[in-house]
Amino acid sequence: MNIRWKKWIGPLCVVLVLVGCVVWIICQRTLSQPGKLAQVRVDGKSVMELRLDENSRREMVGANNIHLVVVVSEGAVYVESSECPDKICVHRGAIRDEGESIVCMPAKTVVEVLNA
Amino acid sequence: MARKKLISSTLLAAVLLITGCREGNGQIFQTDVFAMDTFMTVKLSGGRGEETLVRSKEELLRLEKLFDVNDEDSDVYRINHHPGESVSVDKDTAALVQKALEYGTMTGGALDISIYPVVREWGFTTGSYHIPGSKRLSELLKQVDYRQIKVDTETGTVTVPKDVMLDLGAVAKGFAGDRVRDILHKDGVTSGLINLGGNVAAVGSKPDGSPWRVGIRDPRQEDGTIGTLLVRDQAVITSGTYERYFVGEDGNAYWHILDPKTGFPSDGGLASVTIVGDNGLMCDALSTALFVMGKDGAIEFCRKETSVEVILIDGDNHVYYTPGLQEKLELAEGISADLINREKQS
Repeated sequence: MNIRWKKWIGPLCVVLVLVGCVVWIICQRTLSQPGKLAQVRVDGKSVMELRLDENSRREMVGANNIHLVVVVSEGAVYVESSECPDKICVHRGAIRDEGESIVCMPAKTVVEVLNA
Repeated sequence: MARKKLISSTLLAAVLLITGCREGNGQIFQTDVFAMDTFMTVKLSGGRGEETLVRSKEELLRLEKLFDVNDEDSDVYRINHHPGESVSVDKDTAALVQKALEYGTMTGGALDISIYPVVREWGFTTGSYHIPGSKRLSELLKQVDYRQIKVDTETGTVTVPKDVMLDLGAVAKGFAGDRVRDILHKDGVTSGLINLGGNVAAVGSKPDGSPWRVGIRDPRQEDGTIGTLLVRDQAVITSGTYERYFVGEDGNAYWHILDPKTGFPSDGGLASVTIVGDNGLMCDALSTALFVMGKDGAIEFCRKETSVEVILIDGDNHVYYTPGLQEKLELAEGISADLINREKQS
């Protein structure tokens, strides 16, 4: 038994390390898969994440009970409508690049494009 | 026994390979803050993480409660609505008023925190914009004189005469940025970025050790920049025509930075002023003051004042910058620039 162990211990260690490496690489690749999403935050808390590669239209309620409609279309996201008084968020138009954001001050709402 | 240890350590090595490297990347903590009529973000790595963020946010909201000119419970509101009385205020309010008055003196009144009645008349505090008549402006300008504001930092009191009102909007964000930087430093954060509506305070450098890269907005393009500034542990604060303005019935643009001498938007040939320095409050005060001074006045000021570095952008998008930024400012293609030479110190 002891002799068998001694024979296999080296290859076993190598296999374990290799398996660890492969799993790590797969995890890293999966987690950093390029693909954008729009994160919607209200007063700093994430309330919704929308993939930019899937068209969607979502109604939501921001701070001060302000209703907004967020739309994803053709790889970009925009605020279609908002009950806020100045409509700056609506006039901002569509965003698609990582780091870009739409801010609605009265609703304390931020739509930011992130890399998934 | 040795065999078991070997197997255990091999398994541990594999697990560390899977998880340990991700830990090594350093987690980024970020929060949004809606305060001082501005969207702010605080981003950091290290320190006490989430706990540091919470304290930063609480401090920003606390300072907003002190300085909000429209909040009946704020120190500033109470000062403005009790003329002739010595109003007890938070020590931070007294300290900020004191510093703002000093910057008023330093800039020959180009920064004047008593301009609030004129700013309000234009509608910049309410959003109900209109162009005041010259007679009305003349009346209001009689009340504008920062030298009439009295502050006692020992007793923590501020006094304004009848009809004089103050607004700390030109300095509050710089002060707040410094406070949050202090919190981050105290908590051991070595990499942080505080963005108070375009006014940036950097803590340390980026997590990878390289300097923070701060874009300097092109006054002519909402999403464009005239270049990038490399900074570590400094504040970068800009005042520009594009920040808050309205287009009047006459078709002209009127922006919120008013000349305390005329009551009209300052029109000295500058589109924006960016100040870079260690003290965010000073940067904030000077960004407004130099804008009011206009191009010639600001260049003259920069020749003598060496405690901050400055980027001026004129109406033709031509850039003027001080020598300390020569190695830190990367201008975009096609942007023309001149160096402001400093007077030799005797």
